[in-house]
Amino acid sequence: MEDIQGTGEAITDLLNGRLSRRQFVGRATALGLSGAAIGAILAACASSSTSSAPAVASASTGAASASAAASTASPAAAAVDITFWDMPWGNDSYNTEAMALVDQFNHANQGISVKYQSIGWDQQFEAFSTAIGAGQAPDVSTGPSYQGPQFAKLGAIAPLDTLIATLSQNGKADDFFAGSLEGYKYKDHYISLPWSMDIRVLWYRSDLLAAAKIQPPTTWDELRAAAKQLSGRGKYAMAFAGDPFGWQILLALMINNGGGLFSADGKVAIVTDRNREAAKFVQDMVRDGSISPGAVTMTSDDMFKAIGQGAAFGWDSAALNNNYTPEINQALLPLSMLKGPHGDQGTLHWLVPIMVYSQSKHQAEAATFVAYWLDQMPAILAPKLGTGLLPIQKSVAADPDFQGATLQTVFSNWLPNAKYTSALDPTMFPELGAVEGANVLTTFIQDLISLKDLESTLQKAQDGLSQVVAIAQSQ
Amino acid sequence: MTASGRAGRATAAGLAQSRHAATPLLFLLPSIVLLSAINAYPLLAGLALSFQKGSLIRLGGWVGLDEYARLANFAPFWSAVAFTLEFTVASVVGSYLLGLGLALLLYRIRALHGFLRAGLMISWIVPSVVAAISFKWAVTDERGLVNGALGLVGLGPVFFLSTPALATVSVIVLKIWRTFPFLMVTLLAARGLVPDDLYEAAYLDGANAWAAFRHVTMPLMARISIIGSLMVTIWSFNDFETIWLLTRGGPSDATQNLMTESYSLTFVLNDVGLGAALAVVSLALQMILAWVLLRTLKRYE
Repeated sequence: MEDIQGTGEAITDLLNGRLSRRQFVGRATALGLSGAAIGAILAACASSSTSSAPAVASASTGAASASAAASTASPAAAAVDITFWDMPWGNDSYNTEAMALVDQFNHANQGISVKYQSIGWDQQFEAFSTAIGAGQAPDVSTGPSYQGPQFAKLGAIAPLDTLIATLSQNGKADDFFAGSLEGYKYKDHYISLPWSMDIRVLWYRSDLLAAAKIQPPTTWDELRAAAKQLSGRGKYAMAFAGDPFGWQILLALMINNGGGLFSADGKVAIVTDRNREAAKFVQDMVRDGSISPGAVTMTSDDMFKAIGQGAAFGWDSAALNNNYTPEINQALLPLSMLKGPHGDQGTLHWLVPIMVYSQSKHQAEAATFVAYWLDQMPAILAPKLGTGLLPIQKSVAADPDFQGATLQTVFSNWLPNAKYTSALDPTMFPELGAVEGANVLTTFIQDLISLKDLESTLQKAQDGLSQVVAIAQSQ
Repeated sequence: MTASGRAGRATAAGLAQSRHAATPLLFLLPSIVLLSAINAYPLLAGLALSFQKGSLIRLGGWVGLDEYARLANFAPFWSAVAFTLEFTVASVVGSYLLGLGLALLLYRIRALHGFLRAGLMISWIVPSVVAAISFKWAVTDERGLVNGALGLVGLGPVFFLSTPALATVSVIVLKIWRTFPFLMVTLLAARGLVPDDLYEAAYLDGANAWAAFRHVTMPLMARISIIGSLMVTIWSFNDFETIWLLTRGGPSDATQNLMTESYSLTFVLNDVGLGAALAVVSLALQMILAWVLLRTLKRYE
C-alpha cells in the first residue's frame, strides 16, 4: 500500500517538475516498479502534462479501470500490442464471447491493442514452453492451475504485486473467497491472479436411481452397491476415463479418504493405507462390472457420452457438459459429498489463473488487461458458455446464474472440503505443473482399471512421480 | 610448337576441365545450402541439446555424455526400444506380405482392376488423423463397429485398446492398414516389369507355380522389394502419429515408441537433454538399419 502511495507521489512530483526523469527512475526502481512500467509512465508523462495523470496512475498500478486508461491514452502509448493466449475453457460459444470481450477492451482502450489467441489443451505446455524458450512468450495468458508457479520458478512470470495492491486498495481483493489470492503467492510475490475455480464433483442420474428405487448414496459402500445394482447386460453404471480426467477422479477419491499424492511436507506419498483403499475401491468397481474395462483408453468426452447413454454415475466439474438432452440435464444432480470408509470428506479442486510474462515489454498494459478480464467474470462464467468453472469472487457467486440449487450444493457441500493437487500439502509448489503434465498419473489409473497388481501399481506410481518431481526440482 | 605454347594450352585445358567439373557443383549449391539449413541445423542443434541439461525454457550448462548415461539407466527408454523394434518389424513384414499378395492378385485380375486398385489405396490416401480416428471409433468400446459386428455373432465385446497386448496388436494393424497400399502399388509396378517369357521358360523346364515365384518373381522383384521395405522401415521406426492418435503410448506405456517417448520427455516432462539424447540414439539406430538394408540391396546389383 505504501508503495502505491509512494508511486503516486513520485508521479505527481514528476508531472510538477519537482523530480527529474532520472530521479524518478531511481525512486520508482526503489519502489519496486518494473522497467516496463517505468518506461510506460515516462512515455505517458512526456506527452502531456495535464491530461496524463490518470493514465500514469493506470500504468503505475497496472490495474485502473479500462475506461480510465482509454480516456487518457497518450499518443506515445498508441502502438502498444498485447498478445493474450487463452485456453478453450468452455463450449464453442466461449471463444466467440472471449473475442468479443477483447474487442470491447480494444475499443475502449485506444492505446492498447490486445490480440486474442486460443491455445488448445493438447499442445498447451509445448506451446507455452517453446514460446518462452524462443523469447516469444505472450504478454498475458490464462492457463492450467499450476502454470504460474511452474513458470515463475524459471523466471518467466512477472509478479502482479502492484495489481493485487491496487485491488486491496479499492476493496476488490475482499471480494475474493478467503485465501484464494494467497494461493498464488510464490516467494513473497503474487505470480498469478485467480479468476475462477475448477472442481471435481460426483453426479448421478436421479431418473435412473428413482426407477430402480435406489436412494442417492452417501458412502463408498452405498455407491458401490448402487452402481453394481444398476450395471449388467452391457451397461456400466459408473462412467470413467483412462485419460488425465481419470487420475483426477482417483485423486478426488484419495482426498475423499483423507489421502493424496503428497504428504503434509510435500513429499511424494502414494503408497499409503488411505490411497491403497481408494485405488482398491476403483478396482473393486471394475471387478463388480460397474466400471467398463474399456475405460482404460476412454477420454473424458467418452465418459460424458456414457453418462448421456445411461451410466448412472459420473464425475464432472461444477456444471455439466452441455451436450446432454434437456431431460438428462434435469435428471443429473450432484451427490452430497460422499463419506470415505473412515468418515473423511474431500475432493480435488484448482484455482484458474491469469498471468503476465516477464518477457512482455508492456507489463503495465498487460496488467491493465488482467484487471479488465477480472471484471468480465459474470459474462465469462455464464452457464451458456459451458466453462463448468465456479466464480472466485463473492459478488459473481451472488449472481442469479449461480444461485440454483445444483450449484449451491457444490458451493456448500463440495467446495469447503476441496483440496489442491498437492494434498495433503496445502501449498501450490512449482513442481505440480510437471506432476499434472506427466504421463505417470495417467498410467497409474490405466494400471488400476486394467486390474494390475495393486501393490506394484502403487509403488510404480510412487517411483514414477518421485522421478518427475526430482526432474522438475532440478530445472 | 614451343614448350611454353604447349604448357599454355595444357593450363587452359586444365582450367576448362576444372570449370567443367565445378559446374555441377554450382548447380547443386542452392540445394546444398537449402538442405543444410533445413536438415543440418536442426540435426546439429539437437546434438548440442543432448549434451546440455535443463528445460525448454532455461537450458542448463554442458554436461558432456551425462544425458546418455542417464538414458542408459532410464527403464522407459529400453521398453520404448523394444516396442519400436517390435512395431517396426511387424509393420514391415505385415505390410510387405499383404502388399505383395495383393499386387500379385491384382496383376492377374483383369476385371475391375482400376476400381480395386483405387479402393485398396484409400487407407493410404486419407490423412493420418482421419484414418487413426476412424480406426479408434471402430475398435475402442463396446459400441464400436467391430464390437457391433462381433455382437451379431454372439462374441465380445473385446476392448481392443485396453490391454497392452491388444493395444500393441491394434497399433500394428493400423500401421499395416495405412502402409500396405504403398508396397502394393510399388510391387505391382515391379511385377509388370518381369518378362512373361521367363515364366514360359521356367514352366517349360518343369517349374511349378511356387518354383516360378521363388526363382523368377522374387529375384527380379528383390531390388524394388528392398527399397520399398527400407522406406517402410524408416516410416515405421519414425512413426509418431499412428501411436499418438490411437493410444498416446498407453495403456500403461505399453505402446510408447522412441518417438513418443522423446516427445514426452522433451515437451511433457520438459527434460530437454534426455529427450534430445533419445532422439540422437534413435537416429543412430535408424542409420544402422538403413545401412544394413542398403548393403543387402548392393548384393542384388
